[in-house]
Amino acid sequence: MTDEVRSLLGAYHDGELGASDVERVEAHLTRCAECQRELEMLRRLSSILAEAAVPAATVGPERFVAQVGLRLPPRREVPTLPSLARLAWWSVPVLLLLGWASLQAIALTCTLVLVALRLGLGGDALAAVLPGNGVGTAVPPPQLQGLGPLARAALADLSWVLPLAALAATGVGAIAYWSWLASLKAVAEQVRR
Amino acid sequence: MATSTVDAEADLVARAKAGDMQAFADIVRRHQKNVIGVTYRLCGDMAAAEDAAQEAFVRAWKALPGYQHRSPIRNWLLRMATNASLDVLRHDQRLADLPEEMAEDCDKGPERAAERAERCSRVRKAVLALPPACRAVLVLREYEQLTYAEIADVLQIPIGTVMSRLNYARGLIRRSLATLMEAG
Repeated sequence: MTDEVRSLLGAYHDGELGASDVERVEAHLTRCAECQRELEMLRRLSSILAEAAVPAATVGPERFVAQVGLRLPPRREVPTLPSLARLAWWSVPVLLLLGWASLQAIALTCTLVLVALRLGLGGDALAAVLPGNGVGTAVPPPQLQGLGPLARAALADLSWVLPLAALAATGVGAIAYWSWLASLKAVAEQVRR
Repeated sequence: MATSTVDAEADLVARAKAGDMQAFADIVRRHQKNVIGVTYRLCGDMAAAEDAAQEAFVRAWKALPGYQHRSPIRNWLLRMATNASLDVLRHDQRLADLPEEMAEDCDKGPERAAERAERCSRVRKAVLALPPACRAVLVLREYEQLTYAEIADVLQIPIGTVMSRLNYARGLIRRSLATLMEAG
């Protein structure tokens, strides 16, 4: 019990014990002369340590402040954009992502429709004008008879143009996004410096 | 500490974080005495202590944008001061030997001046004879009155380590100052 309480005396002297431990220590101190002496030694030690005052500084307080000031590196002012411009800047990646997703959705849908028609799953309306079917001379269905030859040819090219366009859009979007990311890193580096 | 004082200091810190050097100068004025007190008790030499204190404030200026208000600015500055002092001690072995002139630095009362100076010198030597890690804990507890949790935060060590280093430091100092302790 004495050893256990003795290990708590330092914390008791420093006011670091919880209420229950304080009660336990104080109850023990009423009947243990050894621990009382130990506590008294701790108090005396603190009193003796306090005698070693810090001497006067060699440099006056204002001169010290001035010397610190001379050693401080300047803090660069980080240019901040107006709030509307900042909002527009942060919306760039969001818009890029939305635009890319939309183009991908359109391209995917059109490609799936064309493939389905080619396989004859969606009726003969467009299959008749698709190249490679040997039906270039076939009579276009009534819905497409109003279209000129250029329009029909353009429609026929959709089967390979659409995937290429989707790929190009992905490339452009990726370049735009990485450019935005590089500018973000440049700003962060400027702030860090 | 009064709320208005706390608010005033929070305002100074916010302005200093934004780059206001005048606000930082006010922070230096408020805390230089404590910081120099810690660096002096760790280094044992006033010139080295002032240099370490200045270095501590320079480091604080650079690190201030990252200060998160998790601990009071005073404790945060004491961390800078302790680290700067320990760096000075690592690089300057000369500081391990306490100069005899230090005895003259102590307060001299009108009576028993020599005896008081001698006691003062012995106490300082006993503190400086401690291992730096234990010395830092003792200085922050006995002279800056920091709690164990605050010391743990300043030194970035567990509270259990604070307690064990403090007990060890007190044990060593009691042996060094045995005659003083007996005399009372």
